[in-house]
Amino acid sequence: MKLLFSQTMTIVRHGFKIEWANPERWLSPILFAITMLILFSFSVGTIEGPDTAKLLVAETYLTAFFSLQISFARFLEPDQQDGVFSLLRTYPLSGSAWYLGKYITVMIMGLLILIPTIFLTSFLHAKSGVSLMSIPVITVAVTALSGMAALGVLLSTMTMGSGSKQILYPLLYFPLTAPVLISAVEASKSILVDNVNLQSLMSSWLGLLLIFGVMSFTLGILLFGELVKAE
Amino acid sequence: MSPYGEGLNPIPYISAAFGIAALMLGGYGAWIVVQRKRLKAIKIASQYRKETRR
Amino acid sequence: MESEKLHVGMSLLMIGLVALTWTWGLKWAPTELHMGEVYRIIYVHVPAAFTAFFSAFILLIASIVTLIKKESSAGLWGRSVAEVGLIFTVLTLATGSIWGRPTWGVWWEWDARLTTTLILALLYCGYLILYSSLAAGPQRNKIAATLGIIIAADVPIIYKSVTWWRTLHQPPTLIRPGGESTIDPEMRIALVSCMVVMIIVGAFLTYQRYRNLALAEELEKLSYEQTP
Repeated sequence: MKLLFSQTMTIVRHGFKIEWANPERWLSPILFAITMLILFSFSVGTIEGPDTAKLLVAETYLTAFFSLQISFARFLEPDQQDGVFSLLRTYPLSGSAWYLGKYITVMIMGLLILIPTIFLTSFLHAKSGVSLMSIPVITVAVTALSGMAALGVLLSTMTMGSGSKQILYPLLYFPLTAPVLISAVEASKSILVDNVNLQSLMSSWLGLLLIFGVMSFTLGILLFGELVKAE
Repeated sequence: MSPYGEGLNPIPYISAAFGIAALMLGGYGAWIVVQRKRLKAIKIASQYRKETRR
Repeated sequence: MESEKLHVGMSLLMIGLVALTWTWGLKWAPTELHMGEVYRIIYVHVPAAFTAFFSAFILLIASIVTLIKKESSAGLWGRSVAEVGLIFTVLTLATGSIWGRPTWGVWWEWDARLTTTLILALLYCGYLILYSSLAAGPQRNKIAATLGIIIAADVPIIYKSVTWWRTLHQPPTLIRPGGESTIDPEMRIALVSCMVVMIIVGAFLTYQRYRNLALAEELEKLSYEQTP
């Protein structure tokens, strides 16, 4: 257990060193999110009326999805370029520790993209009177992120050696995370429009998000070690 | 459930559905057969090459 | 030569079974009260849908075997199943769309089952593209097997989420949660027969495709051996 923890923390520290050394890596998804929000606003125009909350929720989650997908698809690139990935495969490093370390790194980087996106939507559409900056909505968003991050680490590892990564990653990622998008949007809509509390949502959308998160994380722990094992 | 446009001729829709099914399944099967013949021809050619090299 | 005769015989048997069950559905099954004759598309749409989703389950088994046994043959089975699964998924979407037009008045509706089938088609495509884009070897088999497991595990969640999201399809007619069926017994027998035959045809096509892939792999190994 102690070994697993120290190996995991080493991977997390290494991951943050890389992200910190290259600000472009975490800045560009955030800038992409801002651009997407602006383009959405241009396409939709003034948002008012009974469908305001629906549109804002859809806009936020779609923007977050696209930005997170860019970040997740690229997160193994530094390891690949420096030869660190090949080196780690030969080390006596537990697959679970490696996966956990990457998962924690990706979750934290994901939060750095998700929370500003939620804040920006509320800020840019403050006039609409709908704010997504509430504990229940953020809880839903973070639960959604937990499943997406788990799957993101696995898919990034799987598509690393592929020549068609640019199209393959989104082609696989978006259909697989469709339940997350649906559940996150519907749960947030229920909170904002129908004032449903988180406890009630546990038996429906939030419960499904949790199941997805647990399932993705479990699959990641079980399968990542096999994927990275040296032949 | 009421059908849209009662009095609609069902024959074109039924024919299209079953026709597409026959085309897709038959087409895939035919492609497998053609591919098998090609692979077998390559196998025979490579075995002949192996024999003549000896 | 003998084995080729067997395969030709099996192919003719498949064609005969399909022709028999389709004729049963088109001519001998009773007419539906509300939908009229156009309902007969059910005898190709539902079996295709069942086979498409059943293929995802077989892909799961092939993927698990690939990871446990580390044999390349299991990886080839996975690829064959994914291809056949894609064929049946596209067939389900096409026949569902054709059935939807006279029934709902539109070619497409964001119905739970059709939407899930569309997502499954994208996943099968992604699986096959991933398989083709990776260099041949044990790593490719492992990666494809991992994706196969993820796809199979995700399909029930996708289905549940889309079902809650919206549904326009009629409720399940073969078996309802209470155990009763709403479908006419004669229609039920015809439909179940079509489903069984479609699964058999799917299995047969998967096997024949696997044989081709195995032969191609054997030829590739031969060419390496013969290269000076």
